[in-house]
Amino acid sequence: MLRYLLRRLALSLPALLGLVLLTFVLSRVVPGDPAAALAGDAATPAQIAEIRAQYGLDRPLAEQALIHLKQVVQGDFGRSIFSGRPVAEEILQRLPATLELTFAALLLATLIGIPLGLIAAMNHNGLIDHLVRLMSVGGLAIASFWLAIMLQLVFSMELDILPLRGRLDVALGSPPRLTGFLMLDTLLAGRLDMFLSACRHLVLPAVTLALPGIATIARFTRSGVLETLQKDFVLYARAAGYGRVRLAAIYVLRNAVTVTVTQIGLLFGALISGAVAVEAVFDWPGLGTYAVQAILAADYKALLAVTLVVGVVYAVVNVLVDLAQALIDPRIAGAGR
Amino acid sequence: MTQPLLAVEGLAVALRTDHGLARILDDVALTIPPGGSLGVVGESGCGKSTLLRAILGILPKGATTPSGRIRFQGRDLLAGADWARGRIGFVPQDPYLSLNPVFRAGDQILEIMRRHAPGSRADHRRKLVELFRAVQLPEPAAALDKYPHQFSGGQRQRLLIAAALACDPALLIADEPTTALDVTTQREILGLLKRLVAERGLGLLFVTHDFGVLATLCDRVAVLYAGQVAELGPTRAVLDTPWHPYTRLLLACHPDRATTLAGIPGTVPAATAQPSGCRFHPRCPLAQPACAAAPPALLALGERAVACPRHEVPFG
Ligand SMILES: Nc1ncnc2c1ncn2[C@@H]1O[C@H](COP(=O)(O)OP(=O)(O)OP(=O)(O)O)[C@@H](O)[C@H]1O
Ligand SMILES: [Mg+2]
Repeated sequence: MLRYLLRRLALSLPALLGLVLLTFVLSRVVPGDPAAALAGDAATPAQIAEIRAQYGLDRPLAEQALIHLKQVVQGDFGRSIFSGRPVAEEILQRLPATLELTFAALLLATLIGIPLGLIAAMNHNGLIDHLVRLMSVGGLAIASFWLAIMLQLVFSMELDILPLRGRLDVALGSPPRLTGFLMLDTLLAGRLDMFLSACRHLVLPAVTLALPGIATIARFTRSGVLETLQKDFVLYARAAGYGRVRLAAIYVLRNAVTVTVTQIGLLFGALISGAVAVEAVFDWPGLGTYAVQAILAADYKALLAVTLVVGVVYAVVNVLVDLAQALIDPRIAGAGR
Repeated sequence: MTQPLLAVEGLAVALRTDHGLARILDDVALTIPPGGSLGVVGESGCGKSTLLRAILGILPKGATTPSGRIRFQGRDLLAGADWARGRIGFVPQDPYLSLNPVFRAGDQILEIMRRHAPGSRADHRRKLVELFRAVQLPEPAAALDKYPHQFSGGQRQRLLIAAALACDPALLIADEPTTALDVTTQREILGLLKRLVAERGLGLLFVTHDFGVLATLCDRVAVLYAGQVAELGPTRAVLDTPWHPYTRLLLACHPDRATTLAGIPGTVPAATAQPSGCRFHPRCPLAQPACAAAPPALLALGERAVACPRHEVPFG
């Protein structure tokens, strides 16, 4: 199992290397001169040339790419053209907020999506099944920024039971920053009131972000369960006298979710990109809002770093997904040997 | 007369299909005394598996409520077979597909025992290892913790036989349990089944295409055609002097005895469009106009029964 895990990790390295180079090249072939942007509107051509030399923008592209790669490996993403602070620092500052949000959404999507899919499949063509199918189409069709605003209108403005924006009640102050994850930091600080406030702030953005995920996971679980129910071993288990509940909830579901789990990995990519819109609406100080700023400011250093960090997180999540799959299905780790 | 172990009377099963109601089984009757064995033969699609599924209470979704009676140890099975789980052991056709690949084989069998056999989990484990030894599974103790894909097909069928025996059944039901296996393994598994059934005094209901297997394993045989019993009797007698024209043709085209590769002309009728009268008459060399008019009754003649009034007429 360990060897399987290491192999999966090793396999994601070339992909990440490719990502570094590809994003670099893309950032340089798109129109827009970073040196000009840096120098400002009133800069003379001489000033722009000076900045270009200072940032190494005048060297051949291949050489720049190599330098970029070397820096990235050392964890050096350069300084933000916009704020002048080290990009790595800024990203570390914001990454936990986004991870907290996306993981909460992923958890919600899984915990709601899988039972929903299972129940729908057990009621195949029944009322619940139709409702779930309707919902899973709707969940994908609804634009997340629209949903976000609707939820804000209902739960924050109208009912006033959930906070409108931010991660924490400003009045409560903030816990000492240890991990950057408020869920953890508030607990580590022993501040239950802050923890609850953080949870309440997380609800609306996480639900908004989770909805398409719930739809996807419910759909895949449903079809996985339906497919598994056709298998000979289910018929055999019924003949041998398995209990109904156990048959559905454990025996069938474990086979069915192998497909769902793959989807969860892919979904994570969608969640991170979805987080951009959701963070913007809820004023969530994460990577999404940072990326938006970077785009608007043509801050290519920051953009490269964000892309890469998202890529790394995505790769790690997918290794975890592979691991989960190998744990669910014993044939997987053995098969690729 | 002692109470039969299994008694099926007037069993009819229909399936709702896109082409209308398919009458898969019609007026099927058979009995198995305690410790007795009955083989069921017939062409593909004649309803053998459906018969077993009706007895096991696992008919497919589109099936109408079966009519007739199925009694096991004197108690009704048709209204619900759950009470009899464990007392009826089932050996499925395909050992490769009948075990869930993502659970340990031992756990899958232990789950059956947890529900249907008395005793603690430790008792069950001990008993299962013994059973694994009895079915000659290599390394019986280690087998408990292996996954299905770590066994060969023959070993998996041994596992499934052990599973069928796990709750001390009185009746064993097997649906062509060796067709997915190679010839040598087939012989081993059949030998094993024969021995276990004899040792434990089990009743046996055995579906097969193979008359050789039938002769070694079953003391009585029921020949099914298009969902009906064509002929019923002691295996030796039926194999030596088949009465029903269908049985005669079936035996004649069996690979071991066939003189030509002809087979029986025509095909089994679709279950949605059964012919009138005797369902075999369109393919029967002895057919007469009367055969198409009314379905023949099952004539009981001593130990045997046949659903054909012309059973003494030789083929011309
Ligand atoms: N789940 C199902 N849905 C629809 N029709 C079915 C189903 N199972 C069986 N049938 C139909 O019922 C009839 C009898 O099938 P059954 O499986 O009992 O035959 P069989 O005698 O076991 O054949 P074989 O020797 O090929 O196993 C066939 O016409 C088949 O098409
Ligand atoms: Mg069959």
